[in-house]
Amino acid sequence: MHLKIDDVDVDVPAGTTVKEAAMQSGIRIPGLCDYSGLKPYGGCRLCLVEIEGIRGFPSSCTMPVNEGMVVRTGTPALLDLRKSILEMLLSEHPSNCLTCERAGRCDEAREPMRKVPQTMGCRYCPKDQRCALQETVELVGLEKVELPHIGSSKQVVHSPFFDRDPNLCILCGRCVRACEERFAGAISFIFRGFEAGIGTAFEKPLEEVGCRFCGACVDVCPTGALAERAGRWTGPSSNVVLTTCPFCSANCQIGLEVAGGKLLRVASVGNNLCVRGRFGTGFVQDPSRLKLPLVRKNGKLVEAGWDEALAVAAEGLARYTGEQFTAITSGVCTNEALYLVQKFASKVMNSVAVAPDAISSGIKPEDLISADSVLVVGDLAETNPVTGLALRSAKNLVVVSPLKTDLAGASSTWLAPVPGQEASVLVALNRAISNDDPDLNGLGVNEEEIRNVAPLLAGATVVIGPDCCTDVVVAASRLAKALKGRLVVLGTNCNSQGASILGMGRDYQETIQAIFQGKIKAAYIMGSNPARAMPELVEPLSGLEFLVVQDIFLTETAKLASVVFPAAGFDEVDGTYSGPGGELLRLKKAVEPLARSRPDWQITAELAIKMGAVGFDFEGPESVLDEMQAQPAQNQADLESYVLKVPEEPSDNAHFILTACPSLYSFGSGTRTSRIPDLRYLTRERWTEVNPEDAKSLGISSGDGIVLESNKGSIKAVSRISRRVPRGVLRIDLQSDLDMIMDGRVCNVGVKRDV
Amino acid sequence: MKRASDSVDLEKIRREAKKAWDDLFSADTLVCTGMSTCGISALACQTQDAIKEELSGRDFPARFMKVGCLGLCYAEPLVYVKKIGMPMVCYGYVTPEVVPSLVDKAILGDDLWKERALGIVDLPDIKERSAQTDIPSIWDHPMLKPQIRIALRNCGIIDPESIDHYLARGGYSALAKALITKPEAIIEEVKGSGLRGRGGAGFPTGMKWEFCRKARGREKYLICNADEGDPGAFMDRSVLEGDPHSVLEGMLIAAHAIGSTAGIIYCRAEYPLALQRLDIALRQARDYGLLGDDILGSGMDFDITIKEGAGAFVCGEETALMASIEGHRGMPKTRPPFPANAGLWSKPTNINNVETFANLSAIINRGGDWYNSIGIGRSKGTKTLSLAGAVRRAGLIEVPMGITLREIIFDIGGGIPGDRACKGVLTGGPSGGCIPAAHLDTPVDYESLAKVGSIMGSGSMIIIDEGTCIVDLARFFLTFTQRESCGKCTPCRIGTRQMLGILEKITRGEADLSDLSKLERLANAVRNGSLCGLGSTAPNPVLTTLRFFKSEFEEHILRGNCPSLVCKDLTSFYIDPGSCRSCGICAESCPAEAITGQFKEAHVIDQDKCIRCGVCISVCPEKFSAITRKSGKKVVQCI
Repeated sequence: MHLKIDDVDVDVPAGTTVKEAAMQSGIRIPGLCDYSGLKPYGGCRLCLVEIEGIRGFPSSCTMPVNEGMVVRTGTPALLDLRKSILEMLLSEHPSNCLTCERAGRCDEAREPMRKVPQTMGCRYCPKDQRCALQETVELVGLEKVELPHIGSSKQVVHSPFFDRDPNLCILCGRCVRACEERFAGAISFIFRGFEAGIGTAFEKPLEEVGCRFCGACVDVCPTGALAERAGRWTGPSSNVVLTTCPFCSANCQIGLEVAGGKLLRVASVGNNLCVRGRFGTGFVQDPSRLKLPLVRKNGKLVEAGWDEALAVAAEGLARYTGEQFTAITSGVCTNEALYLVQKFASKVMNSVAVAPDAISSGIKPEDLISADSVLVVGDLAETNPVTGLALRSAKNLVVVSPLKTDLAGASSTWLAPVPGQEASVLVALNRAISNDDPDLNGLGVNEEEIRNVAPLLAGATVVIGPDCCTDVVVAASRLAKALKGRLVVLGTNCNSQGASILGMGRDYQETIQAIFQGKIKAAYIMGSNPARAMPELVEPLSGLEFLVVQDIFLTETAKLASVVFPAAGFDEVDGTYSGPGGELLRLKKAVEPLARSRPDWQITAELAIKMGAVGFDFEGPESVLDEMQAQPAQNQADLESYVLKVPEEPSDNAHFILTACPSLYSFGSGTRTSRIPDLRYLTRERWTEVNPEDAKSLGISSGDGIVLESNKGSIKAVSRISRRVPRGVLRIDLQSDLDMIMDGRVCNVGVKRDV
Repeated sequence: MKRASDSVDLEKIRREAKKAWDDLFSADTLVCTGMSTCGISALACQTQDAIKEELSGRDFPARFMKVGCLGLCYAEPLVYVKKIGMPMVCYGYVTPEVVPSLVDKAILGDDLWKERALGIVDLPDIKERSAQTDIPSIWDHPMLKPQIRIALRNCGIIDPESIDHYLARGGYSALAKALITKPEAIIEEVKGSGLRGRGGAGFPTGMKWEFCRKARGREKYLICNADEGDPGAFMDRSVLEGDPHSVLEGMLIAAHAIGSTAGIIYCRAEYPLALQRLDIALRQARDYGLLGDDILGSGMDFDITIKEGAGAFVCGEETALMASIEGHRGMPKTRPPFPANAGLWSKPTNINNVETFANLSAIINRGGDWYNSIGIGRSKGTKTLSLAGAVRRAGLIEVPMGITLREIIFDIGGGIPGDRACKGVLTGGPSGGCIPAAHLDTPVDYESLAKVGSIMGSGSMIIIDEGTCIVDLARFFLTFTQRESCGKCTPCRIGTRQMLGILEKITRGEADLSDLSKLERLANAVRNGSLCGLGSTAPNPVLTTLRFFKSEFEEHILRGNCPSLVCKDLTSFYIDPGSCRSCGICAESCPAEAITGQFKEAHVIDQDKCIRCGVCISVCPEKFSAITRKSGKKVVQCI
């Protein structure tokens, strides 16, 4: 399309808005409600233009270009109108600083004034210098606000992670649109007229209206109305370091905002994030971080220097080479750290290094998202939220889930088996495809459903979430083969793929068995907290003769150690993770390692050198990576010969099936996420989701104390009425101490009110 | 059950309905009561019950029927009595207390009770005519005589809950005709009629239909906008309550013309009676085969559902209305895309107002040229208007375009009550403007009203007299629009609030002249900058009053004087010592205990305590009339 903007000839594709076309030709038009990636809105009225043949002043952010359009963006009438409108906007926004002739030059007065409870001007605002109003005032050329100030003093709304200050809100609606586009719809406009504002239904707390705290609203907010509390008083950042999120296997890119050698907060780099990436990385700043090595003396762990700790560890480990030694790590660590631990275990200790989460076989995220037909098992909205969000737009989405998960709600077909029968449904689908009789007895899914969905799945990508058990993985891999489709097993951790490539999953089960059997005498555990994830391991681990633990915290496992090495956090190291498609994702150092902590790979190398090993002298993580990439591919775990377990039949005396599922707000064993106060707040109770009908017949309402009783034992919990669970099923967040009532993820329970 | 599978069937049903309709007037005594909201709020239900009660023990066969609003709302409750062999007489002000006399004289007796008769309801189907009596025809009543009733043709005549009555008066014959006409030809006919959207904006209806007809897409929606929200407007309500089938027939014709299969009537929940009668009409139309599949054997499938609005003024704006139907908050969107291409659920959508639809069957039956012959300039046909405010005969009227404001106020409305002078008239409600008395010869048509800074709007007409303060009036309407702003766009949300602040300042006497230029600057920014019609027209009452009544604003600002004695902060109450007979009733009634005085001593109001509630004026015996209001410079009075 050809058009003329302020006498400049512009050629843009059809569908472009006038504002975009102007920007492309270097003409700046102000605007506050428009935001790239969000639907056009046309509310702030600052981007008004004149277009020949169109009456009045249309908003350029909503006006699509037309062939031959003649646009004017800077007529005197427009400039005056924009000033009037901006003046109106600022008459209800603290505007003293915005139009102050000394704006930006009052630094000496700034620091103490920041801490006033109410934001009265830019220098007190958490978004100072990140605020779009500051820019707009300059662009519009507004010099003073003559209209009387009519902003009312409304209460600031506190939520986990961020605050909403309605007094700074300009009602651009960006947050509402961002929330809608992420399918949460937690916030909307409320009230009308001058009282209009943004809020939740009935002004309930965000966590009760479906907010997942992804922070998209905060990212898009042009003013200080929505601001994260992290770094609220620290002022703007000096630079943003692009790195990779250290939690799930979605491997989202995140921006670390840094100032004065300190991490301020995480910023989105234009992509979707989840609560963990956006607000959960502060664990690296937890005061309980390990600062010095610890050595056990007289039964107590005491601080020691690096030399001493390395010497004690080297001497201790040297006595247990061969089968009496094992190294345990996890996909939380970088490729460099994993590779060196594996090399250390095999070359120095003549044994193996294992990882519990080294099951991952992925494809590149863009291939996954563009797949037409997808079958999903697992609750991705909780485990891999950003992947889950992307999969909502798959053309044909089939979900196998006992619960009405976020993806089940968005799916075109939802198969809802009895909890624990997911693998059997995949087997039944496989049989239906090969025209065998699917055996559906006790599955909770009927034959018609299976027969209807089977033909839709040819060539489908089968996606298995990290919350699925091995049986599901095996059944899925056989199904994918039958469908001539691809299998995607999402790893648990950011670098489960790396651990999987290194073949660290092969010997994991055997190693754990060996620990239980007492065959292992010494271990080196890095970036893994088995004592928390599997409380039954505490006893055998304390029985080890020598244990070296390397972590950023004094974890439950580290407390059992002979020597503890303080590791540097994910923000303090350079390195790589392996993405699901095998691609390398960079981890970039944003700040110096805390106190005397050191990068994982470096500690392992130093330990090996201390033990007299050669081949551990690396200049930096890059040279470790080079060596790792030169290694031949490792054999993967063999799934072919795996025999599927037969799920237990529910016993008759129990009324409910309790299913333990991972929670968005608690990652893995919770070693890291439990250090974030607001994540702790969101998981403060042992919530058990109960179907409304069941709740009615049990006579319980949301928030009531309940007791869950199984054959193994009983625990207290708090009920939460939810339509996510079907009748007869209860959902509980996966927690380490659930072993009090259950062994796996599913068990039969009775429920009664706690009196 | 009667069900018309084709137009021959329909005619058969119509013949039966016509016979029943004719029988209505030739059998036992028929008593009709005006039972639209205007009548009911004037106690029409109680009136009808009282008549039934009076007649109950008397072995007097009588039949009762409800009718819609005839438009003479000022005289409600209206009761028509038709006795065998007599013409049908319309009586006004028939409150329950009047019922015994009515029954005595007009129902049981042979007296037609001429004193109370407003006129004879002459209908073609009633043999007995006004000529038989010395009571004039109701159609010669000064309020009705200048009217041409097209949209209101059945209002106040038929039972709105009877499809048979509608059929008997020729209803759905236009639909039958339309269904055998090509959609394009119907659009041409409507274009030729010059019919323009009666919701306010006045966009040519035929053109709108053509856009939607030509839009690509299999599903097309047809919406009837019945979210009448202007204060003082009740045209659409009266049509829906008095003749719902006329709207349904119009929608069916439109559906055929644009190729729509689904219709929605968006009606505000504050119109419970309209909703109830619409619901009845929809069920009847479905039963008769006039809605549903294969209507009258034409192959056209079309049905209509009702969506109740939750009471937001902005939902009368078409894009906000559609958002509301979709279940979202009613907030307008920018255009393009236009509803004709991407409206409801992003499908091509045509949206017209109740009155627009009510005009259509007449246009199809009598031809576009006939409709086009009525009216003036580019404004053709008639317009329904609701007359309210300072006018003797308030009510609902339908007049040809081009009639002057003066004719409406003085000939139809009977002028201003009391001895007061007409100060002006507000057309178009809160989006319209105030036209001063000097411009009363302005013809009522889209262009002429725009020329004086006002708009036709949906047709509300509020007449003001000298007792209305212009600043207060502007403040009133701005309070309304400001409260009803959806909050989406800055000028409407904040600009109207700032304007209101200035107006309030003026009514308090705290403004200076620079505030007037600020007000004007704000008004222009709001008008030019707002996203939708609500915002862009909200300044109209301010801009027109500033234009025509600037001196009154200045009087407030410069002299602290509210000439109409309305603005509380500028008005004081005084007791004239010469007239006061120290009866003490004012002192007793004063809620602020501001009045003091001894026996045989003139009372005095303490201006600091007075809250200007006006109770003293209302209690001061009329023969004394000792209390007066004054504005401007304060009178010094010793206590």
